[in-house]
Amino acid sequence: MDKLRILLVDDDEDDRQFFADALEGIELNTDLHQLENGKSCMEYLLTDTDNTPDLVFLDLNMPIMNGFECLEAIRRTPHLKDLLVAIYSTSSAERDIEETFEKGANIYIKKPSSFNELKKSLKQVVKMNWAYHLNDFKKENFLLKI
Amino acid sequence: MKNNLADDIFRTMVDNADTAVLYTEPSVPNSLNAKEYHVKYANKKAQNFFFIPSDSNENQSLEEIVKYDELLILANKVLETNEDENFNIIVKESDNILNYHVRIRSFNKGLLFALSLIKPKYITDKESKHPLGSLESRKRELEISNLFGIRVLDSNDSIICYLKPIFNKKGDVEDFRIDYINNRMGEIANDDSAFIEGQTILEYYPKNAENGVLEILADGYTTGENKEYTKEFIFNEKSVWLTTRAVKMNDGLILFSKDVTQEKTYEAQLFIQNRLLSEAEHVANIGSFRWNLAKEQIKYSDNVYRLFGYDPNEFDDKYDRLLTFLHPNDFEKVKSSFKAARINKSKSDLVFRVYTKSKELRYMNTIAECYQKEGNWYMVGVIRDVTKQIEAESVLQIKNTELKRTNADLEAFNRVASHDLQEPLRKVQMFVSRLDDEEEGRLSNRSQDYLSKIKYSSDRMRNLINNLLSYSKIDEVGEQPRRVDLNDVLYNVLEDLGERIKDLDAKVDSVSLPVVNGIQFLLEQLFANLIGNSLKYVNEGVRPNIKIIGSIVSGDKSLVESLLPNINYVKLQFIDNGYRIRKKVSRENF
Repeated sequence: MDKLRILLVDDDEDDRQFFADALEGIELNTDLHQLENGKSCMEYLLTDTDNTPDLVFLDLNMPIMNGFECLEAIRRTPHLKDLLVAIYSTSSAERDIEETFEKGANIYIKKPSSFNELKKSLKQVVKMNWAYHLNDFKKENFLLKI
Repeated sequence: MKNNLADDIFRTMVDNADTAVLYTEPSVPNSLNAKEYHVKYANKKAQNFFFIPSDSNENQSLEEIVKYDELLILANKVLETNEDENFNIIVKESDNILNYHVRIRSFNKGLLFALSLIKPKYITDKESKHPLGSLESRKRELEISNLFGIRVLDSNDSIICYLKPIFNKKGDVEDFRIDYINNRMGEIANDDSAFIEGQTILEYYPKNAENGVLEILADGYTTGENKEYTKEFIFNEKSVWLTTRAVKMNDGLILFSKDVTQEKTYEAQLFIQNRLLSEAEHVANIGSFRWNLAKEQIKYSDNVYRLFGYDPNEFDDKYDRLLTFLHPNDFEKVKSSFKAARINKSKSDLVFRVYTKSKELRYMNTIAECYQKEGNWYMVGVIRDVTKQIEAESVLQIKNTELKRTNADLEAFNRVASHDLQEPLRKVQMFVSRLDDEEEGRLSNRSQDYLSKIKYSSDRMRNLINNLLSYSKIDEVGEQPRRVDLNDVLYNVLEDLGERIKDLDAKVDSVSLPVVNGIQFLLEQLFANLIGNSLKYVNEGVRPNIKIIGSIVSGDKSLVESLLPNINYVKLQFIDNGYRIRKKVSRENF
C-alpha cells in the first residue's frame, strides 16, 4: 500500500515537531513533508505535480503568506482545486472558521493542548474515508475543535 | 246652436285663462255718466279678484264693482275718452304683494277689464297716466312707495327699524320710540312688528339701559355720528348677538341690525381653539405659521416669536425678516428649500440653525405643507426647537463612536486572549503533556509533583482565559433576554460537569426550578461556577451534596436593599456541604 503523502505548512517549529511526533506515534504508513509558510508551500506545489500530496495541513497565522492566502492560491490552481486541505490552527474564532470553509477548506482542526489529543485528531483525519464524507458534506462534520 | 257652442267654447277658455276678465255695462245704455252698472260677465279669476258672486245680477255703482280707487279713476277716464288704458297696479293680498297689469277698454256698450298677474318689477310713476304732480299722482305714488318700501324692508336680511327720540325735561334723550320695525324680529323674538311698534326701546328690552345701547344711540342722535356696535340680547332665554349700525335721519335714527349669533358662536369656538393651540404649542415648544404664497407675509403663532426669543408680534411678518435669523451657513439651504416648496407646492422638512434675540444658537425644525383654498395657495407648517434633540443626538454619536472604539478594543483583546495568550499556554501544556508521557515513572516524586502542579496551573489558566473569552462574547453576540427554563440550564451544566460529579460521587438535587427571563448562556455560566465551587470547596473524603431550591419572593419582603418593593423575584438557593467561601469571592461569582 502506498504511503499517504502529507504536507504540513506551519511556521512554528515546535508545532511541526509535535505534529511529526504525533504522526509517527499513530503508526500509520505516512510520508510527511514540512514547510514554513504559504509562499514556500505554493512554490513547492507548483514546481512539480509529483509534489502534490494526498493531504495538506495548513496553519493560518504565518509570515510572508498566511494560511488564508495560501488556501485561496491552492483553490485557484486548476490541478490543486480538489486537493484535501485541513486547516490546523490555534484560532477558535467563528469568523476564521467560516472564512476558511468559504475559501474551500475541507476540515478545520483546532490545535490541541495535549499530545494525546493531537494524536487522536490526526488519526481521525488521516483515516477518514474522504471520498465518502465529501459526497455528503456537512460543515459540522469537518470541524474538529479539540 | 252653432252660436251657443261657440259661446260655450270661448266661455270655458276664458274661465281657464290666467287673466281676470270683467265686462260691465251701464244699467241705462249709452249713458255717459251712468251711476248704475251691472256685471254682464266675469270669469272665475275676475270673480275672485273683484269679490263678485257668480249669480250677481244687481245694479251697482262702478265704484262698488271695481273697489280699487286706481281702477275706478282709470275706468272713468276710458268712459270719457273712449281710449284704452294700460297700466300696472300693486295689490296687497293677505301677506302677499302682487303686481297686476291692467287693461281697460271701451267695449260694446260697456267697459272690459283684463287683469293679468305679472312678475314683480320696479314700478315708477312714469307708468301712471296721471299728470305729474297731480294729487292723484302723488297719492298713487305714495301708495306704491309704501308697498314698495314694505316689500323691500321685509325682504331685507337685516332688522330695520326707525326710532324717534324721547327727551326728558333737561332736553336729554332718555329713550327712543320704535316707530317702525320690519318683520325680521319675528324670526328672532317671535314678536310681530305691530306688537313692537309704538313701544320704546326700554319698554321692549329694558336691559338696553344697562348694556350701553341707549347710551350709544343717544350719542348717535345727539352728535349725528353713525354708530356701530355688537351686543348680546336674550330673547326667550336664547342668546342672540346683533351687530347694529345706527344712522341719524331727519328727527330719528335708522337702525340696521344683523344677526351674528352664528358668527359669534364660531368666534367663541375659534377663540377657545386658538387658546388651546397656543397652550399646546407652548407646552410642546412648537410654533405654527401660515403663509399666503402669493404674498411675502407670514402669519406666525405667538409661540414662534417666543421660540426666537421675542414677545408675540415683536418682529414684523415679512418673509425676509425670517431669513435674518438664520445662521449664515444655513441661509441658502433654507431659502432654496422654501423656494422649491413655493414653486412645486411640495412638502418641506428641514432643520436649520437660527440666532435668537439673545444671539443664542438654536436648532429649528420646520415641517410645512401647501394647500389651496379659494384659489390661493397657502403653506402651513410647524416650527419646533430641536436643539436638545440635536445635542442629545450629537452626544449619542460621540457615545456611539466611543462604543465602537471600545468594541474594537474588545475585539483586539479577544484576539490577544484567543491567540497571543493561548498560544504560549498551549505550548506549555503540550510540553507538559509530552514530559508526562515520556518521563512517566522516571521522575522523582518531587519532580512528578512539580509537573502535576504545572499541569494543574496551566489547566486553570486555560479555564480562566476561556471564561474571560466567554464573558467578552456576551456583548459581541448582543443576545436579548428570553424565557429560559432553569431545569434545562441545570441539565446542560450537569452534562458538562458529568465526569467530575462521577469522580466525586456528588449528589445534585433541585426543587421547583422556574422558567425565568434571562440569557441561557449566562445562567449556565452561573450554575456551572456555583456547582463547580461546591464540588471544589469540599473537605477531603466528603461526598459533595448540592441542593438547588427555586422560589418566588416579593421585593419588599426581601432583605436585599436593591430589590424593588411590590415586584416578584426568583430566589435561587445553592446549598452544599462544603466549607464557607469568603464573602468577597461569593459576590464576584454573580
